Amino acid sequence: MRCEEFQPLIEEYLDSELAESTAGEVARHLDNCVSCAEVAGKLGVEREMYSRYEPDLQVTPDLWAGVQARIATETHVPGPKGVAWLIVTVKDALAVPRVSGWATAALVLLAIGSTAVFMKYMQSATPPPHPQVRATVEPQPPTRETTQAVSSPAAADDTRVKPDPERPKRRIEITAERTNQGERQARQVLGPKTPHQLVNEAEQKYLAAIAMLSRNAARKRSQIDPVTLEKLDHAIAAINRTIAGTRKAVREHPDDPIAVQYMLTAYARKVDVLREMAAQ
Amino acid sequence: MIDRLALSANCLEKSDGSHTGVVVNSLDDLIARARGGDQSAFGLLFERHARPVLGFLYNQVGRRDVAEELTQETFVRAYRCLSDFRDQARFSTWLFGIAKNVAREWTRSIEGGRLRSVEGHLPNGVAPPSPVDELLGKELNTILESALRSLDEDRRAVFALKVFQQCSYQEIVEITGFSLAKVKVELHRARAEMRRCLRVYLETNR
Repeated sequence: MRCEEFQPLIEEYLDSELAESTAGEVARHLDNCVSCAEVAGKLGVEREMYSRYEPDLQVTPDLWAGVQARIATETHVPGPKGVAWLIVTVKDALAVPRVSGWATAALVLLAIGSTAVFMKYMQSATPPPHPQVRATVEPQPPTRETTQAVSSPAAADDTRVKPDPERPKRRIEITAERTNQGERQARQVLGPKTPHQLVNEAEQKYLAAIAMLSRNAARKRSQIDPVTLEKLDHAIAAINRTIAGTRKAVREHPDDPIAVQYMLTAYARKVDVLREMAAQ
Repeated sequence: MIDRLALSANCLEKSDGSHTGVVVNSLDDLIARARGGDQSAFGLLFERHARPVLGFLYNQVGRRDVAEELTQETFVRAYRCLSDFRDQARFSTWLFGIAKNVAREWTRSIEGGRLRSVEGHLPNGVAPPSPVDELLGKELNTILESALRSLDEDRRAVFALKVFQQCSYQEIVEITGFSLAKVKVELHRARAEMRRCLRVYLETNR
């Protein structure tokens, strides 16, 4: 194929939407064609910019309270509608418990036993503690970069990276204050933090670190030799694709610790590459 | 320690303060419980999906207060229609579909689908007044949002779903009801329009 045929495919290639064989052809062509690689590079810069877009939006407890209030005021209860509702209602009304005599006897004994245990419990002076169990899933051992960046993404602002003195820090501090206030309110309303919230927090911190490092890296671009710059751009484009893929996986399977681990590792890699650029 | 996330089953707390014990909150389980009227289960669904829905609606309407209101409307409708939801593997797609309809209704109630920019969107070729550093961070958000508002409603939805929500083309087809070909065309045109609006900024950063 010629460049004119490849170029319309580049967007889909970067979106990871091409069939494997076509994607392979495009990748090989990009390795050998300077002009198409330049087009891909420009699209990569756009993607990098879009990935830094993070509107200042927070899901406040008020938002859920509003939903809850509206649901509560509605008389509608989720369930079958129309004819389906009628069928279910009639079925329920006519339903006969399918329990054998022995099972009925067992249920009666169980009920008596439960009542006895309950009465004993009521008489005891000290109430039992809440059965609060937390089953922790150990993630894979974090790499050096992961540990460094995850435990303190703001630590990306280290000796090698010299951002403008006050302004960015202040912005991050303000964001952190706002976040902390929001978190406190959320904890009051919704109880202890869920793993999902913790993952969100980690992601937000990475994005803050990446935004800060991207600014430093953007300043250094003109000082980096073109070959290295191209390699770094390729690396960032690849990482962005990984981030997009893993974010999607986490969104679809928020309880999957492996997906979360991969996503956070991808963020850590991006922090690392940006630091590399900023340190050139 | 964020890197030692406690990816645990959650202990749900009832409104009276008592605990229900350990509950494995798989999506299917939460949906089933929410269908049965369990508001705490629906609360967890809200907690998981509210941020992307809010972000998408904000991209669509361009106002934080309206986006919040429409997010509430989206989840109220989702709660009402939970019994109609069949394909549990694509709950987020279903939710985005509701959000898109809610946004469309709101947009149609105002001016013809094209949103007015609060800041005034950047005319093509006119350099933004600030230096590069000023454009990054919050300023970048402002510029991107202005450019986004210059897109028409359908194009903006396709672009936001792909670029900011990382939806696949197929998911966008399901959310919007457009054909795959239309999704690809709209996305390509949206990117081109965004590129034109952001040209000066992009060139400065190359």
